[in-house]
Amino acid sequence: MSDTYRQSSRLRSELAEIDPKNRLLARQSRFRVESEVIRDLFLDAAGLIYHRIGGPTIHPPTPSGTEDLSFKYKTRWIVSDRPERYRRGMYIHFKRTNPYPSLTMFDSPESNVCEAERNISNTPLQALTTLNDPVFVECAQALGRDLAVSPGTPTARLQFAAARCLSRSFSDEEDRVLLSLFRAEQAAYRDDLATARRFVGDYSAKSISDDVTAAWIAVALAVLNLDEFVTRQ
Amino acid sequence: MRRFDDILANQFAEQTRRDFLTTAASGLGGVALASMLRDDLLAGSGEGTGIPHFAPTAKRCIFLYMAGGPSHVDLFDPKPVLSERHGEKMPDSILKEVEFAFIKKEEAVLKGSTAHFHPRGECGMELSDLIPRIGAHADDIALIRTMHGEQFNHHPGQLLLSCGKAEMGRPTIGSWLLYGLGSESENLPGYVVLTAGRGASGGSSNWSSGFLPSSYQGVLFRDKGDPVLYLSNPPGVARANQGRTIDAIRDLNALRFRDVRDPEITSRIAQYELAFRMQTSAPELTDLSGETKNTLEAYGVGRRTPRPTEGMQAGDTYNRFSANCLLARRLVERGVRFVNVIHASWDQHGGLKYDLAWNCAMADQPIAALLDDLKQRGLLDETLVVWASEFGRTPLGQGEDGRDHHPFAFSMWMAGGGVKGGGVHGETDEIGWAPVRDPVHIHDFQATLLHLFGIDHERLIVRDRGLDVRLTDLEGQVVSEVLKRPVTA
Repeated sequence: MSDTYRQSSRLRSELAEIDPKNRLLARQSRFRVESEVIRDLFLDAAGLIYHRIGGPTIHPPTPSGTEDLSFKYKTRWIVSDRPERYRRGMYIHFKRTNPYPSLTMFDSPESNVCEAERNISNTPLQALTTLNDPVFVECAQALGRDLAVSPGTPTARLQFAAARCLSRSFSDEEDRVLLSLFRAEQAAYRDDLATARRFVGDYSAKSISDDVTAAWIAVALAVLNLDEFVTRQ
Repeated sequence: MRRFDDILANQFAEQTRRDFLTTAASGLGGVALASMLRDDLLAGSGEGTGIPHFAPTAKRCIFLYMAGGPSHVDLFDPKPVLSERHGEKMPDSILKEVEFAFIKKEEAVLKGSTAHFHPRGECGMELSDLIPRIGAHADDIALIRTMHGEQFNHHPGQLLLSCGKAEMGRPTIGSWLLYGLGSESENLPGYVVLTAGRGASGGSSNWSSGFLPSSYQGVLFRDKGDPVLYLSNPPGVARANQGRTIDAIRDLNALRFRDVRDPEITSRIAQYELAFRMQTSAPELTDLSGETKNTLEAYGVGRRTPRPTEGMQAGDTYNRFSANCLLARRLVERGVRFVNVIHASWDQHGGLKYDLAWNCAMADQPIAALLDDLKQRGLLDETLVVWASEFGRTPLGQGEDGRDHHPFAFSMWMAGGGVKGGGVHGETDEIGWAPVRDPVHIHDFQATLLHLFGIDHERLIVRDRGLDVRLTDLEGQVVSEVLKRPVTA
């Protein structure tokens, strides 16, 4: 790889003035990845991704009622079984008058005309999707359970999350933020195990109390929602 | 007009001059950030074009999208001659050039309307007895009887109406408005879609942002479960939990911003805060329990839906459409720019008499209540209300009691937002087949709509794949006659 490619994507203020679009490549570019890849990253960080190549399209879970919006409402969306539903985003069944919501939410083209370059938008609905869509929440549950059962100190587990999600380690400052989130969540769930259990869902860890797992899931959800996690830099 | 990435680049240059971290950390947080970003976007789109190009009279739009093609000769355009000539054949000279979706030309005969028309309001606008309560607002309404387009099937016709071209992939009217003018709502999306009845043929292409970023697309409010997709926290997550998670995300993103200085990060911080606020504001919006009994009754919220004819999708369409009209008012009250109230379908190929009356009984009361309500609250002056569809229906009969698609002449109306009420624009021939005076193409209507918002339709342009694109494609003339403030040369 060339020296130019290996530059940092950090923005220096003087470059912002001289070359805001980075035409002269004084730094590496930095952009949010495509919709399908966001899904792939989540599934991969969760250890859920199923890498089978080829075959028919898949139908991951979708909110009920979305299939009624278009004219051909009789075409039912039957959710694929595991592990099929964890295949990469490029395999998701695509219907032009009723596209899969989380794909178009992140600027996937509607496949009606050629789109030479995708937009990269940044919206509150995207935040709601990666925070609350059951598909993404399941990824946090899986990652959170991995963190809960991983050995060592809480800080060591955070480093495990950093390595898996961001391919780097957390700074002390970052550790502090996430540890305080972990403690606050555990404190909140400790007295309400029934609620913790609902958050943990199918991802309860053997021999670990659900309040602890729930707190790690909250940490996992935070890490998976970082700008850096969905950004190629 | 500059490319969108130029605008983003400009935004970027602007923002690096500001100390974002200070703003984010000081707790001004999301709102300030969001508005800065929006201002920058607007500065970008307005620069060189000066949007608004002139003083607007409308700030918000409620678009009553009556998909399927309501019959103009039964609702808006009385044709006694058509009734007199009921059962006669059309001259071959007219039929030769036209295409129909379903009618066989050799069997086509004229079909008179069974509806009765009466003059309404002080202006005496003649409207069908099927829509008496809308008729009571005749003095607020500018009726156009000479709408026309080229598309005689639903989806292409809907695309022409929504995007100015019968192609998928272009921005819809609401997206253009949001792109040109930005949003005035801090806690809700600027472009909201409400549907009742079965889906329209066009599906989400009727509220797509096309090649514009998805932040300009219409956000569908759902009638079951969450009003906005993924609005609810995951099971077992209370608002306090979600708040702490979002705080942690904000703090970590702010640390990242300190290192890499990319304003996209501050934008993401702002979007997460807006999402968190929307989790409260959207359910608050759709909760109608704060409305008075009188208001709910006026709109017909809670009405029973009468039995439809076989094959029609009914469900609780009446109640849904009533609630949607009320929601539309609540949305514009909160500064939402464009509300698309969709109802399908007005596609009466058969069962015209019963089904059209069924649809009108659904639409008449809530729409009239909406106009009343907007007026009472002083919102109608700046809120444009539009009734439109992709086309009308043939003066020819189809089967036992139906009419086929008819894009060559049909009716629509506007009220509020600087529209001059109490007038009829344009005239069709004696059977309602084609305009004979003042034809208004769908592009002309779109140009007029943008004009009301202070936008010159020829100067709201975005380059896409090497082509300068606008809502009105290459056509469009503002219909000055329907404006309170006529266009000055």
